[in-house]
Amino acid sequence: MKASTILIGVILVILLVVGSIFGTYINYSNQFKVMDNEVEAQLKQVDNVLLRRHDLIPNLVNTVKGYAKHEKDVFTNLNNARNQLMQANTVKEKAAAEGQLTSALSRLLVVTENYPQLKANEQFNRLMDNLEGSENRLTVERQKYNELVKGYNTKTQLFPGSIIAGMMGLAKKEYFEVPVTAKENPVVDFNQ
Amino acid sequence: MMKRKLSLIIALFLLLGLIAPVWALTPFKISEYVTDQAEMLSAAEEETLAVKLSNFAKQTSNQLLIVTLKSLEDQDVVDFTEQLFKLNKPGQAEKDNGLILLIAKAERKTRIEVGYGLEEKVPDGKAGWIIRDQINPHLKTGNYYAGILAGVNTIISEITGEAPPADSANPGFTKTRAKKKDNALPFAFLIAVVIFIISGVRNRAMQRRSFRGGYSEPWYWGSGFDLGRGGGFGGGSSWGGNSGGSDTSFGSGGGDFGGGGASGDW
Repeated sequence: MKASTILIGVILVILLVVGSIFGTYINYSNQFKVMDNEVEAQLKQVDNVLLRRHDLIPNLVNTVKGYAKHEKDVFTNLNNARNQLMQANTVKEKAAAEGQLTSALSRLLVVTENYPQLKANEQFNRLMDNLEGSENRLTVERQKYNELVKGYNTKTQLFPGSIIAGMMGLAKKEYFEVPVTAKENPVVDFNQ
Repeated sequence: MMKRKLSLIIALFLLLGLIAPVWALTPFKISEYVTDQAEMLSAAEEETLAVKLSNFAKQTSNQLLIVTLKSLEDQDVVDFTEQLFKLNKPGQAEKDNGLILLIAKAERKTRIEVGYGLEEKVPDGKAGWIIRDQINPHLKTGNYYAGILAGVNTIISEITGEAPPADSANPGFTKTRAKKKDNALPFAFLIAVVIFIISGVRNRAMQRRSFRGGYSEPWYWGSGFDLGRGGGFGGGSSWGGNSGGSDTSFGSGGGDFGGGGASGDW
């Protein structure tokens, strides 16, 4: 009688342990999937903003060209950066190309300072609003993306998530970081 | 004894010195549709604008906020407006139809920050045009009310797709005002119920979690969750507190933004 009670007790404990381990696994794997989807969706959002800025460039170049034909270097730089962004696939490549585009654009902006007539052009002003807007959007969406990645990475690296993430074969996700060069102020050589 | 008192006072001053930079300029909770810190508007002008925006919010659920600052205190106008937006979350959570018009007096800067849901109605180029063409020319001549009013009217007409209203007369005013008083109490009640349900869900989640081991917080308690709902709570309390008094108080709907809008110098 006593032995069977102990046996039932042991079985119950084992069931409880197995059940809670199984439950934890399902719980975590579901959370990882949800977070993974959120990160992906946010990356799409970052891509949208990048594309949006990207689409502004031909228009901007044409408008500025009307006033500043001989600033060829600026336009070439901008085109190169734009092509690079089109070819970028990974988050790292995108971030690098994005940085290059940012610095090429800020060079263009410095150049436009020398053409007061441009500032009186409403179309140019609106393009500048759009450009500024896309840059702000990029900052905002990038922040949101990085926050989600941080949450995901933390969750997959802390016990017991780390074990479950290992079993699921989940890798650490990359942050969308702007290269340091993009943050520097552009220097324009007027002697050229 | 005397010495001790003195050192206490000195310590207090030191502490104040530490706190002071934090006081400088941090994003603050907005409780009215018009927050005129720079005192660019008279009381009557402020009231007119606040009633206009409050009515607009009641009728269309779009929440437009006006904020004037004495100074940005070395902060970036875009950055600060975005922080304000993040903290106060104008617009409804599902529509993201909020907007902040911020004017910094000392720096002579204007910024329009547009919520996700209004980006189509007020795209960046349009926001920039409103600042350049409608607001800033008036601000330059010191006619602050005219500039802000013109800006608000244009933004409203862009959103509704109607021609800007004649500003002096507002025929719907008394009617909506009377109606709103009736709405305030059920609305406060509704929010109380929502808070009750959310806290219930949270508690239950907590219990379940601790049963399973209790070592980790649910992932959705991260900063995102707290921030989002936090805005809603703030709205709830300000609604409840003001249900009998002034009806131009702002209660956040939880709207989000993505960096859209424009800025300009005047």
